[in-house]
Order: sequence, then C-alpha cells, then structure tokens
Amino acid sequence: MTAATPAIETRGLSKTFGHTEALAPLDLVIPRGSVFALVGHNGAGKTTLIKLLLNILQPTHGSATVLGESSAALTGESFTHIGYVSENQEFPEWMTVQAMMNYLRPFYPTWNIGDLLADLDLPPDRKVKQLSRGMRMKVALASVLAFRPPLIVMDEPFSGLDPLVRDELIKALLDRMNDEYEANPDSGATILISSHDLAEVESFATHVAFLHQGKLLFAESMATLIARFREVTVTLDPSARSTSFTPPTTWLLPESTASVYCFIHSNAEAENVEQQVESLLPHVIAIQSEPMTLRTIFLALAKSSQAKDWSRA
Amino acid sequence: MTVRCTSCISTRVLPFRLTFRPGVPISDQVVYAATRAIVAGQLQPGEAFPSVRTLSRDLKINPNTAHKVITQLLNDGLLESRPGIGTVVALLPHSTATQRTNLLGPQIEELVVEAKRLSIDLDGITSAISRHWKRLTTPPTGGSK
Amino acid sequence: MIQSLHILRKDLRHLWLDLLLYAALLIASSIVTPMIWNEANISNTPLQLFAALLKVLIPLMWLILISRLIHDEALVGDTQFWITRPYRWTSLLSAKLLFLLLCVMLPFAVMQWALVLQLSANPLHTISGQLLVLLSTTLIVWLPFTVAASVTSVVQRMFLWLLVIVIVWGAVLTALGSAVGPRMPFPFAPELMAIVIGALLMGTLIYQFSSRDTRRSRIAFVATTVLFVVMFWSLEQGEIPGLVNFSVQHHYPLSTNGPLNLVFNPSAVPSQDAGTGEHTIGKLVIARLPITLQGPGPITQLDHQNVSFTIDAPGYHYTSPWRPADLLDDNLMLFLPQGALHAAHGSNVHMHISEVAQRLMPGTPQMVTVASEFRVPGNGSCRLPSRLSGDNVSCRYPYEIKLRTTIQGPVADDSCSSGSAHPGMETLGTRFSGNGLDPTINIPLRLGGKICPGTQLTFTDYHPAENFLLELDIPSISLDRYLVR
Repeated sequence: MTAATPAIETRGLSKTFGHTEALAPLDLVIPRGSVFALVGHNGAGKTTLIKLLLNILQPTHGSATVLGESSAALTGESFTHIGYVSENQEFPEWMTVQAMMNYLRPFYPTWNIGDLLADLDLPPDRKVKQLSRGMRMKVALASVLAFRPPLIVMDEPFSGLDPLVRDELIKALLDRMNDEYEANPDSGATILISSHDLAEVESFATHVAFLHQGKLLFAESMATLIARFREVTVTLDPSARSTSFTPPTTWLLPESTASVYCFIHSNAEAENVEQQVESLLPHVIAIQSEPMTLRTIFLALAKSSQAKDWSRA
Repeated sequence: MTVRCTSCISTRVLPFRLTFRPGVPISDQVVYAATRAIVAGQLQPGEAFPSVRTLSRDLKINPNTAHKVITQLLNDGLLESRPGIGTVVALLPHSTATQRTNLLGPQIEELVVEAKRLSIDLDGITSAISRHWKRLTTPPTGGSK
Repeated sequence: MIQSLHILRKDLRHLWLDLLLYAALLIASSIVTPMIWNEANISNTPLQLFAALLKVLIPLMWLILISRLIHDEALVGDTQFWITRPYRWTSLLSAKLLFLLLCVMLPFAVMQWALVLQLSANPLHTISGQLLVLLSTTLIVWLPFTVAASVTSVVQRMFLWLLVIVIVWGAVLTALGSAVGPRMPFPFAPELMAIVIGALLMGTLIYQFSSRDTRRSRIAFVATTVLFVVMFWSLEQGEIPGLVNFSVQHHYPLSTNGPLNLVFNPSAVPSQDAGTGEHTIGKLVIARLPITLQGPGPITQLDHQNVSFTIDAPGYHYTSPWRPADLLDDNLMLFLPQGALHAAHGSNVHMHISEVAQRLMPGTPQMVTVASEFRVPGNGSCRLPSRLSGDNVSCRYPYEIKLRTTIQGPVADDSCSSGSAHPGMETLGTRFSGNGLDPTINIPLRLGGKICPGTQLTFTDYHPAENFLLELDIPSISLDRYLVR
C-alpha cells in the first residue's frame, strides 16, 4: 500500500499519573491501511496510549496526529470517521441491540449496517444489559463496522472471550477488510488492535509494536521482524581455547558453555551470520539458525532492554 | 462408495489446512500448502480455487496476503484465470526432464546439505523420499484410509 | 439542533417511567394541597402528613430525574459510551437543558397553575409571581442540582456534594449572622446575586460540558457557592458600606422643604426601662432618642426606613452604618458602639442623623363584603372560618402580596349575634411565597376582633411614591439620658 501521510503519528507522547510514568515519551508511526498490533503485558501502557490517541486522556508531554488532526483537538465530528472498540467502555444498558443501532445511526453520515447484526448472530431485541461479554464485544464491533470508518481502534477486544466468539469477531473484521479490498485495494482501513496475546492477531497483522513497562521496545512490519530475528546455536569444539571478545550489538543475550554458544541475532537478513560467527568464535563445528516466534522475540527484546537499563545504571 | 456431504458447501471448504510456523512469511506457507494440495490431487484441474475473500476468512489472513498467494500461484502456473469463472486449478504442465531437474535443483541441494549435516546417509534420504511420495500420491476419488 | 432533539428523544424514552412517577406526584400535590388549605388549625391529619411527604418526595424526584438525565451521558470519567462518538457538546447540553425545561420545570409550573386556578384566581394575572417562583427555584434548586450532576458520575456522589454545600453555607451564614446588629441591605441584593450566581453556575455547566475538565469545574462550583455565601452576607447584611452609601446617594434624594421633617424633642424623656427587651446587642448599646417624623396629614405609610448617624465629641468621631428603623414610633432606636458611651459619658456630643425612606401613597379603597367565600383585591381568596380553620376569616394569596394593604372594618366585641362592634384594622406587608410546592400565602386576618358575615371591609393598597432623605442636626445632646438600661 502506498503510504501517504500516516494514519497515526506520535512525537514524544508521554503520560504521567501522579508519580507514576505510565507511558515514556514515545515516537510511533502507524501507516495507513496497516493492521497494527500493539502488544504488551497488562499495565504496559497499551490502554493509556490508545486513550491518549483518542483524546480520552490528555498527554503530559508530546503530541499525536490522528488522521491528520491533532489528537488533542479531536471533537465530536472527528469521531464520524474513527471507530473505538474496548472492553472497558460502557454501553446504554437499557437499550435493545436494535434500538442502540437505530440510536447511533443519525450520528454517522456513512452509516450502512446491512446484515451485520445477522452476520454476527446478534439478537436485535435483546437488551444490552442481558448480553454476555462476548456478545457485547460483537455489538461494539458491529456499531463500529456499520459506519465504515477509515480508522478502527480496538483495545483488548479479545481478552477473556471464548474462542468461538473470538473467531466470529475476527471473521467480521476480515469481512470488512475484504469489502474494502474489493472496492479499492490501495485504501484499506487502518486497524489498531492492542492485545496481550499476539497469537490472536498474528495471522493478519501487518505491523507490530511492543510496549514493555511503559516503553516502546520496537515497532515495525511483521515481515521485517520475522526476517531479521534468528536464534543461533553454535556448536563448538570443547577442546579449543576460548578467546574473549565483545559480541556485536546485533547479538542479543549471549549464553555460552564449553561446547555451545547461543545468542539471538537481531539483523539476520542484512548481516551474514555464518561469516560473523566464524570470524569471532574458535573452532565452530556447526551453526544452527532458527526463526523465532514473535513471543520469543518479545521476550528476548524485553530481557535485553532490561539488561541495558541495568548496565546503564 | 462415494460419501456425499449434504451440509458441506463445496466452494467454501479449503482443501488444505495449515498451522503457521514461526519465521516463514505467511504467504510462502500458504503457497506451499496450496501447492501441496494441488500436487496431492485434493484440488483437481478445472476446480475453482478459493477466492481472496474465502482464503482471508478461513485462514484468518490479510486480504493483501491472500492476494499475494493467488498471484504467486498464478505465476507458478498452478492456477489460471478463466474469464467469468475466476481462478481455477490449472493442468499441471508437462515439463521436460531437464526443466524439472533445473527447477528442483536448489531444493535437492538443500535436502542433501541438510541430510549431510544431520548425518543421514543416502539410503536414509531415499527411503524418506519414498515414504513422502507414497503418502502424497493418493487416487483422486475416495481418499486415503 | 437535530442532534440535540435526537438525544432529547432518547432521554424521554429512557426516563418515561420516572416522568410518569413525577407527574403522579405533581397531580397528587395539586389535589391534596387545596384539601389542606382549610385545615390550618389542626395538625397531623393524614392529609397533612401526606402533603408533608410530598414536600420531600418531589424534591427527591428532582434529584433522581436530574441525576439520571445527566449521568446517562456523564461528564466525569473516561469510559463513557459517548466520548468516542460524534456528540457535539452543544447538542448534548442543549438536549439536557431542554429536557429540564419541558419535563421538570413545565410540569411544576402547570401544577402550580392548577393550584392557583383552584383558588379561583386567574393564573394569567399572576404570571409575574409564577415566573419569579420558577426563576428562584431554578437558581436555588434545579441549576445547582444540574451542576452537581455534571461534576459527579453517580447519584450518591451528587447527593453528597449538595448536602455538604448546604450544610457548609448554612453553618457559615449562621456563624456570621448575629454579630453585627441589624443592617440595611443593599437594595438590589437579590437581583445582583441572581445574576452573578446564575451566570457563574451556568458558566460552570458550560465549561464542564465543553471541556470535561472535572477538577476545574468542581473548583468553580465550590467557588461559586463560597461567593454566594460572601455575597449574601455582605449584601444582605450591608457589610460593604461603600456600596450602601453609593446606593443611598443615588436613590434617596435629599428632601429639604418637603412636607415631612425630623424633629428632636429635647424635653421628652422616653422610658429607659428596657422592660423585657434587650439593652445591648452584641457589643452595641441601645439608645432611644425622642425623634419623630412630623408632617401634615394623617398616618403616612413608609417603607425601606433606614437610619444612619454620626457622633462628634472632642477626640472621637463615629459614623454608623445604615440600619433599619421605625420612624413612625414615638422615639427612634439607635445602636451605639461602646466607644461612643465613653466619649459621651458626662458630656454632650454633636449628633447628625440621616434617615431614608420610601413614601407609599394609598390607592383607591375597595369595599368587599364578607361572605362564606369571597375575593379580595390582590388576587386573594378569603373564606369564613370553619370548625377546622380557626376563629377568623383567612385569606389566601397566589405567589405574593405585591403591595402593602390595610384592611379596615367593624369587628364584633364578643360574638356576632351580640350586635356591638368596634372598628378594627390590620396592615399586610408585602410577601413572597417562596420556593415551596404550595405557591400560596395564607393570612389569617386579625383585625382586633371577630369578623362577622355581611361586614363591609375596606381594602386599601399602597403604591410606592417617592424616595426621600431627611437630615437632622443636633448640635448638643446628652446621650446618657437616652440609654436603655
């Protein structure tokens, strides 16, 4: 996809509550048309970041631009093209599902709900307060997909849901993405999904960012991420004398015994791993280079960033 | 005896299943799985290949990725585009022996290197190849037991 | 505009049951209240208890309605449904205000309208009174409730806020009130306070709706309450002398050769026995000076009488604040500070007295015949006593008694059948019914005897004529003689 201006851009965006820094100054770019996964443990700052982007909270420092508008200036009208789905948002409990959709319709000029309620298997005459958690998330998603916004922001939409419901939600989202793709392959909606479990969105996300204790560890496209990280295990000749050396900065978390040296290479696509290893380690018997799951990449980066902090202190 | 599935919607059932492995781009994995299915006869020449939307929904992948997969398969000659119908499975081209060897060259080399590294001898590799061949060569009707 | 009507419609649909309950309470009030009008002499009948219950239930209903209305799209918090949807704050606020107008204020006005009709009065003639009640209820109840709802997210918190505010200002006012003796209030105090406090409350509401900055809005709300207390105390208690002097200069032109004069009679020594009254108030000492108002003609009706004086003695000067006084009395009661006593002790001082008042002129007297039910000027409705309502004729007025009224007529010595009578008289001061549910004022007439059916009563009302200021200079006076002991 051609990236014109990014859908979302932040500059030094940070938030402090009292004495706690919930989000360290953050620079992030979310390209238009991407499916951007924001990953991190509970309390890492994902929800804070999303609330800052949507002007639900005001930043302590820094700024953000959302669909060309400053986030601090997002007003009622801006939300005609931003959809927000969150497990934490309240609903008009007393309305039926159909009544809620009817109520929302006049707020959105692009409203076109079609068969969304039926597709998501939602009972139109049931009151929202009687719905299960999974159904509520479906209702929330329906109320957002109905007006086809160019930006959809989802805060932990799948947490605690049973797999069937999760499946339905993802299918509904993908349906929407396919609708847009068929209409115009180059201008899809931008979707920002935060999750503490990447497995849910791994298959269709295009970009991923990882927040750890309020800091952004990295943000890049899935493809580059998958390509550049490798778990390298080097089998050594135990009888060879070991020489000490400083590993390159792209080698993370090195561990060694007499016969094995392993580390994580963070730029395996660009650098020649074999050459590097052979030039630095004595008597290499074998080199194994395995691709890593995203979970293991995160763990590695988190540990290594912690190590960096400790070594700096 | 043919078993007809009355509740199956034949165009929506993907004849290949895959669980995503780490480290390999998803599009590559899907292309491989589709290729495997076509080679194994689970998709017959002339049969409609699942659309971008179907691939996207059922495999839970991005439409862009699904499109990439189909484009790749078209380029590889495994699928062809028929006006009015869409993409269908193509007749596997009859290739000359040299073409075949050339195409498979890199894969064979990789196999040999891998085998040597793991200290598998030629007999071991040949019997492994036989096993896989037999498994994937099943008659089109009926299905393996 | 369309968005706000859409939100209004949603609120009507959501709160229809509450509104039904509210309507039921109002209807009950409009039925029960007239029933207890004639039970003034007896207390604790079931109807009266029910009416008292309604006095609690209806304001409670206001609390509930306003809370549910505002909290449905709460301003406080960050998880509300509406903050990530295309709501314009102007539409939201106007939808809520429209609901208040149509569903809280209007039914209340209609209920009071119905009560006035049952008084056989014409509601169209009492529109100014009705608007006054609506305005004061808005400023004292509905608007503060709405602001409190806008800075909270649940009804319990809203209630707590209101409770604390009422307690605090009640306590502060009581503490401040008694220390300084009676004072002349700033003439436009109510109007000024209404405008300032109303504007501040409305401003706070608008600020909260537009910015959702709860912290600042709460501060503004508290500050407005504090300002109200300060304004009330200083204006009503005349604590800002500059302001009062300024208004005196502008409103009360000096009358030098008018028909009225202040006269000091040095030879008369009023009784200095305090009797059962006080001889001090706080740190002030009371003196009674033989100063009277003299003029041609019979009793003149005066309103807004206030007096200020200065005392000059060697090494001592005192200017008093303006205080209420009654110049139609035989003598003038003044409040002196302790310092004045020391300066005046044993010697004479120079005093200068200023008095302001408003003269009232009588209108055309109107004659009314006493019957079992009869109408009187000022939209009042009177009736003869029944077993329940007491001994004498009582009159009920809708919303207010606008003008001072004197009532004159023959009253029986002992009983109506005896035939002997003597002239009786009573003066009714101006009154406002206040903010209760019942907008009527009940006055039992006490002309000084029993009023019999068929008697002719003369009602004379008094209209404000002119304001005047009178000055009196007493070069030398011995204050000791006039102190009350």
